[in-house]
Amino acid sequence: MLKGLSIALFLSVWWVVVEVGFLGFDLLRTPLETAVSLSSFVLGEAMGSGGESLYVHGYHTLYRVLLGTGLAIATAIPLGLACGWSDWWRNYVYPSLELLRPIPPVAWVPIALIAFASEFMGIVWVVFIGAFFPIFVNTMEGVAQIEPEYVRAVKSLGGGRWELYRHVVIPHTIPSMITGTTIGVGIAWIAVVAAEMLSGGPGLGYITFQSYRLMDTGVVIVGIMVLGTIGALSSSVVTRVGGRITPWSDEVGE
Amino acid sequence: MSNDNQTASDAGVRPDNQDGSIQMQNLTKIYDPDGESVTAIDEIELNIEAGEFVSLVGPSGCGKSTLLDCIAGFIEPTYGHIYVDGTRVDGPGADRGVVFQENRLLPWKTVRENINLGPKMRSETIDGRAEELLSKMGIEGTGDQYPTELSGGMQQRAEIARLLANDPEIMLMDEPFSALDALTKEIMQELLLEIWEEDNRTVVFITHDVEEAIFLADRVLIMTAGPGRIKETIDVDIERPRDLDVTTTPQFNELKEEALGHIVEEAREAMESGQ
Amino acid sequence: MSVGRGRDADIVELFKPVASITGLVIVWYALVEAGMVGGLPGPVPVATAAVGLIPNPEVHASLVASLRHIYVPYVLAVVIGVPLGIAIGWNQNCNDLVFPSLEILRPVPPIAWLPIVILVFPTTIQGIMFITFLGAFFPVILNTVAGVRSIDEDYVRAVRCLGGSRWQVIREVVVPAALPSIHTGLIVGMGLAWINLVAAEMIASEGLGRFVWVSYTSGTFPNILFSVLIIGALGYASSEVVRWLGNRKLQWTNQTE
Repeated sequence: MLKGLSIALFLSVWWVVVEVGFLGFDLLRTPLETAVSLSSFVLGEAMGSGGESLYVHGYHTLYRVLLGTGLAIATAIPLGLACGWSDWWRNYVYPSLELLRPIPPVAWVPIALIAFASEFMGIVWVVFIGAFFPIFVNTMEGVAQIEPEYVRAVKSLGGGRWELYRHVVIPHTIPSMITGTTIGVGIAWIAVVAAEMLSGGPGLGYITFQSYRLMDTGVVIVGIMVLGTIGALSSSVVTRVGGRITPWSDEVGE
Repeated sequence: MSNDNQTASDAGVRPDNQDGSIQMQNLTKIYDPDGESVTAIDEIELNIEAGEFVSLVGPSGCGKSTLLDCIAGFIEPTYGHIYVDGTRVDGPGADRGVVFQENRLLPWKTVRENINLGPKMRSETIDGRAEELLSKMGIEGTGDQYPTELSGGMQQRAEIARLLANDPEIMLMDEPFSALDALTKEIMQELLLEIWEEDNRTVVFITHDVEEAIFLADRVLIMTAGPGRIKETIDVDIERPRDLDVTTTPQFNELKEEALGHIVEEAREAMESGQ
Repeated sequence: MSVGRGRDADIVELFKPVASITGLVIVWYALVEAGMVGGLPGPVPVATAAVGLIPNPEVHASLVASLRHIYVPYVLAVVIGVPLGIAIGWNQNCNDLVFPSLEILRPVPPIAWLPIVILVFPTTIQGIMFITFLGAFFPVILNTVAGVRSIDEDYVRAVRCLGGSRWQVIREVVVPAALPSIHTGLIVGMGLAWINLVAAEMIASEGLGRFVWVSYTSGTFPNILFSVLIIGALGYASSEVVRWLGNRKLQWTNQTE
């Protein structure tokens, strides 16, 4: 009951501020107008002047996020395991990564554009950086939290180095990896939107900002809604997949 | 006391000279989590006199804790009422202090701050009372420590000290010593009796340890396994003050045999009915 | 153990991160020399640029602007997010009324609001600050809610049976019990506030982010790397301040069994 009221309240506030023109809200569209333009874009109408549809923009953005996050998972997990488990990696590799970690991913945009000489690779790099550090840090912390009793248990059962990795270190750390990936995907979305706004399109971040320049606020709001929806979907995919992989853990899942 | 708006006369229960009597009438609690109702306690009629020490024993899941939670006012009975000194219980209050199985000292407060908490919340100051209670409980010098720095036995001592600082008429104890090692447990039992004999607060003590129940109580109530009812009452007429030596007397053993007989019978029935 | 050996051990400990970071600089240098990173400048031009930029008033002004853009909205996010989070976590009606609306807004990356906030707010700076606010607000409120919801009911009962009222329960139990989780939210919130602030500044405003982007568009590449390092250092310092402040308040969580 109250939940429905909450949503209704949200929509009415939106409506009222646009109609009344509170601050600069009169430049935006009402919920109804937004619903109309959303449905036409969903049906494939071109967004703004470029002529590409919602799906073309969505595809480019999603592709960058998937690629960047995929690369981040593929590198951050092994590095996190290594830095968490081995003194050598922790002593000699980890400090360098710690130095780079506080740099916000979007600050890499100009560096990546110069270094890669390709807009596409530049944006993917920024997404990669955004997703990498949360996964890396969480994996490493997950390894640090392994109780020595488990290690002793496997050793006393005759397990060697490899068995230790396979039966204790990796499974014990999976929930932390998933937590890290959830955070990483969220930051990847921030990174991709900002990078596209800065460096150009096609892409959802690009078209949202481009339409603002052309004062086409209908497209702006739809762009934000679509970004929110895909963002929510992608984090729920991570949580669901995570819950499937780790049925023993109550850290991940709904 | 939290509920003084209802008087003894309109509740229909006789008033008592000493504070801390408990009357339960038709007390029933039905849990209904997902459409499948479970009767935890069923039409319990029970009077506990002011200053009495009562132990409740029974197989796990017999509703002992539910009964205690009802007296404490943490949960509302589905039917029936509880009166404390003729006043109906309708929520927790400072007149009924609870000692939990795992101590519930607030971990973000030092031991002294925990002990002072009850009086502080009523804007009373109890200068020096905390120190007095600490030494009474045999944990002098721990006032500035955080609860997690103490051993399990010391934590339970501190939790009892916190209750005593609040001066409740009734102490409700939910398996307070079950997480302690055997030796610490015996020491705590003797300590509890010492304290009780000083000011005769009413105590309702839940345990699954029959020896503990008999050693401490004036009366041992044995509960049936779900739905919880009072199956049997055993009066313990062992002389006070008691120490652990009484646990080896024939009188004690007879009581223990009797109580165990009821409990084993109850457990067997429960197993046969598939619970 | 002698003092001398202790000092030797300290030197070895210090050597490790220094070696690591030296290695990073060498890799950077090698990549630039090998021509594998396009027009990216190597360590030497960046160090030279740094010497020129440290006394530069434009850099100082950008730095002050960025700090203002972060602290005002961050404090607002905490002042609003923590009490609201406690109310949502503790009171079911409050949860049902407020939370669904927040859940609609939450998945949108804060930076995506940029076009709208520039239009809606009277000045662009206020818009940027709102983006920073959003970046910090959601981690703060979500962690507060989670912290309140995970409170062990028995602590509440313990205080109630000592005679505590509703407000006393909130003060003595709910707030302190949720504090570690709130602290986590504050640290995460500070990190996300920085990420979103830098992005917003680069796209639309003054501040260090802007300085980076202008250095890029004007082709003074060494300045980019220097200012990015400054941004990293400031971000690190802000998170550490929050962490340190919290740890002082949370001494009780450091005790072990």
